[in-house]
Amino acid sequence: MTRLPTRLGVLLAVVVLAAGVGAVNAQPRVSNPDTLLYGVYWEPVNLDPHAITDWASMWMLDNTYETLVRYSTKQVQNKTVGTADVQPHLAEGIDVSADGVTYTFRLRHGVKFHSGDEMTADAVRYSINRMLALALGPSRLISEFITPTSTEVVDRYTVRVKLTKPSPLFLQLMAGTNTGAIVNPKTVDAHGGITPGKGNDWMSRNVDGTGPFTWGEWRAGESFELVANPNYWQGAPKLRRIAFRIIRDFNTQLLLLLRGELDIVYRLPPEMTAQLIGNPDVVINRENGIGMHQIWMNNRMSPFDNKKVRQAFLYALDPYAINRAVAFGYAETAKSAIPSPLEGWTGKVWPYRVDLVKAKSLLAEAGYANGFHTEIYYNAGNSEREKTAISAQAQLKKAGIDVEIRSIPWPTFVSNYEEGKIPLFVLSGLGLPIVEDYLISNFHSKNHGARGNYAYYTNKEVDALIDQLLTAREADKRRSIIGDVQRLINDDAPSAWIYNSLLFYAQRKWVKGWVLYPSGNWYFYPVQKSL
Amino acid sequence: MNSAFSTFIVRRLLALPVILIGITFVTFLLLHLVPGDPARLILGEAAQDPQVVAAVRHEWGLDRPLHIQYLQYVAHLVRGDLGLSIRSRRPVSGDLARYLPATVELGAVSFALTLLLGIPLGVLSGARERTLTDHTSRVASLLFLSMPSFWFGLILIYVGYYVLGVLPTPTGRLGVMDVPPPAFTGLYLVDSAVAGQWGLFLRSLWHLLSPAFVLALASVGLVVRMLRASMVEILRQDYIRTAQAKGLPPRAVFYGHALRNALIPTVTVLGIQFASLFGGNVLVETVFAWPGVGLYFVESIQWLDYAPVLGATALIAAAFVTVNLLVDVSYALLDPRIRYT
Repeated sequence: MTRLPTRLGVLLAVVVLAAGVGAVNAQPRVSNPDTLLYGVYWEPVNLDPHAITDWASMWMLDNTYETLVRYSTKQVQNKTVGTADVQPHLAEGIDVSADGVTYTFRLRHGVKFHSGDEMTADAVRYSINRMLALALGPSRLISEFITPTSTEVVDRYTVRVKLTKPSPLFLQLMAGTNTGAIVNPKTVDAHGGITPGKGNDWMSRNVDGTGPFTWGEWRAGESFELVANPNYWQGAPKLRRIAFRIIRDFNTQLLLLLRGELDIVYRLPPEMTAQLIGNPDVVINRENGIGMHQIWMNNRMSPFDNKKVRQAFLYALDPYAINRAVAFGYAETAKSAIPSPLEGWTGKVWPYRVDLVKAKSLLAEAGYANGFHTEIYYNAGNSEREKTAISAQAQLKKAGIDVEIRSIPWPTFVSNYEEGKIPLFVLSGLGLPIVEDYLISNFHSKNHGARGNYAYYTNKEVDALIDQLLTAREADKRRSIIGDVQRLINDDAPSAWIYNSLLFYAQRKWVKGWVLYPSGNWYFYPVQKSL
Repeated sequence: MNSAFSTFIVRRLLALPVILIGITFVTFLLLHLVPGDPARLILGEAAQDPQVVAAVRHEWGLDRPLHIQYLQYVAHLVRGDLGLSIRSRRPVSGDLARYLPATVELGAVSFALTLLLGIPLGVLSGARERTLTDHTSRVASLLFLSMPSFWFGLILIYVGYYVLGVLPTPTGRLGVMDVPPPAFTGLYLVDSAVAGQWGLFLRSLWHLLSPAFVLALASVGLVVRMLRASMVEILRQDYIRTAQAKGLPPRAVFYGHALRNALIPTVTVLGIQFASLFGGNVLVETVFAWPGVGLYFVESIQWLDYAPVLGATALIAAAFVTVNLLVDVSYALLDPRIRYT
């Protein structure tokens, strides 16, 4: 027993040696070829598509439920990438009336739910109305132009939806699993039916969709799985099962990936990829998501209620350096107020670059010639936000802005920024690939606070342009409105945008067909493992 | 076991529900002192609509006065109903039934390792004061005590699993492709043995050893140091000299007189260590992907998910109270002079 310390010494010596030698675990063949092993640090919370509000649940349901339309893909430099455009999916064809109000969906024949019932026009109407009746998460966007009487069954395979006003959002929303999922009326009714305003316990733990995968065993805290649906209408998936392993430690995830015991790892901290450079078996799969990693300023709180102070803040920050320090340079540095995958994005109306002289003179004009003291907040445990705050602190110091860093627990953080109680905070998100939705929730003054405009930003001109965009259908007009909005917002500098939210996956080279969508959807149907 | 002793035990057992209610009350208050609204946290983006938030708050009774909310919780608690998680809509009792066996199994193996390593090392060190054995074990125990367990866990995984490939895959209770035994107690060792799946039994034991060892190290350090100190002190007592003088064999003196007395303070420490194992260890659970109570507890706090936090707290408190009772009982067995009134 007393030899333990010696043993420890040996262990440590081996660590040092191993670091030098490097692990040679190259595996010439695909391990577990029909099972995709996915390392995650979270788990889904709810399997009811019309009640979910979290990404993890959405990613599972993307594969078990289907929608009338779905985001399409395109080829970019020999790589398949997802787009923000929709194409028919459970619908075979869509007719839109000239006034943009009536949508007629012609459904595919012979599509079956996992339980064996056929998906028909009744199921579509039932699903849309169920979402409206539950009035949980996803319904808020769609209830602006759909009512419970909007959807009409024309015949067994035809559905007509009459919007209360034309909306370019409608088809996009029907592509979202939480807004557009088609559920089986028989199954829902057999398990309690629809109770307005309330979730359904059975639906939150079970699945009966039309998707290529069914829900397998769920061992809370440990693992969960998607199992192939052999009767899928496009043919059985190539993978027999997608096994998700909950591993909260990224070091452990990385080691498993390197040894080929995991095939994909979600959101490995980018700096860890240093260990993957030169590894022939592992590749990085990255894409821009719909969201900005940013330092929010409270536009109602002094001194950030002063536009010059906010502009000085942006001239003092070096987002490229933060990208390198925090995202290892994998992210796309911000050049506008909105994420680059969105329709109408332009990098041509971006006035900022690092300019300390300009920052100081703006501060002086605002009455802060000697700088000022403020606080920046993030939720404890989030290392991306922590590192961002630290980098920003050093940069802002040079312009005379003295920032104190505060980390607080998540619930406190959320209520503080929603209620506008903190001057600066680091926050990033992922949203729908719909430019109207992004602009309304982030910048419209009717959405101050919890509704998404956490900066409490107000510009009536911006509000008016966003309102105009909601009914604009002509491409040129839309582009010019979206460009004008960006110019105004960039100039107002309500927030300090650092980089585009990053979709970031490390995967074994043998994983083929894994496509990243700007909307953040996960579709496993085309995925397979081969060398 | 006299009647005073049984009265003592009954009294302590009767106190248990009172302690549990007290603990849940304090936890409930603390949870509500944290600024934040579980309904909004759970709705996330969807919390943009105040009507939706209000509906969720109403559904879960969060719009009622605090004292009513607490009384309702207690009313359910006394009927054995721990409530539902707001986040997952799953019953807390079901969740705990899943996480607890993982924690208990890990705790039990880790405790066994503490006893197996700590007691012999402590006794040896105390009996051979100031020899090389003593110095080595003292330095080692100091090292065990002061080394962060998750760091040791990381090293163990890096070297044992990744570089040498001798330790099991750090994917929690079983390997990536293993299928757990049919659920019976939730303890994989027991369930696999019951099902006669001996290969699975061994793999499950194999997966237990690394985290259990990591978890045990700090306790081993503590036990060694305590036991050594007591042994050194007791071996100098007059009654030891008397026992030796009256010609008792050294073995009898050592085990019957010295060790038995030296164990009393150590038992207190062991009791606390044992009980604390039931609270789980977030860092070790994180590193080894162990689905234990600790992570469940911490995650529930992050979402202000009241029922799981209260349920887990009550459970951990119950474990502490029970183990303390067992410790008190064992005093009487170790030292006949200790009486309970």
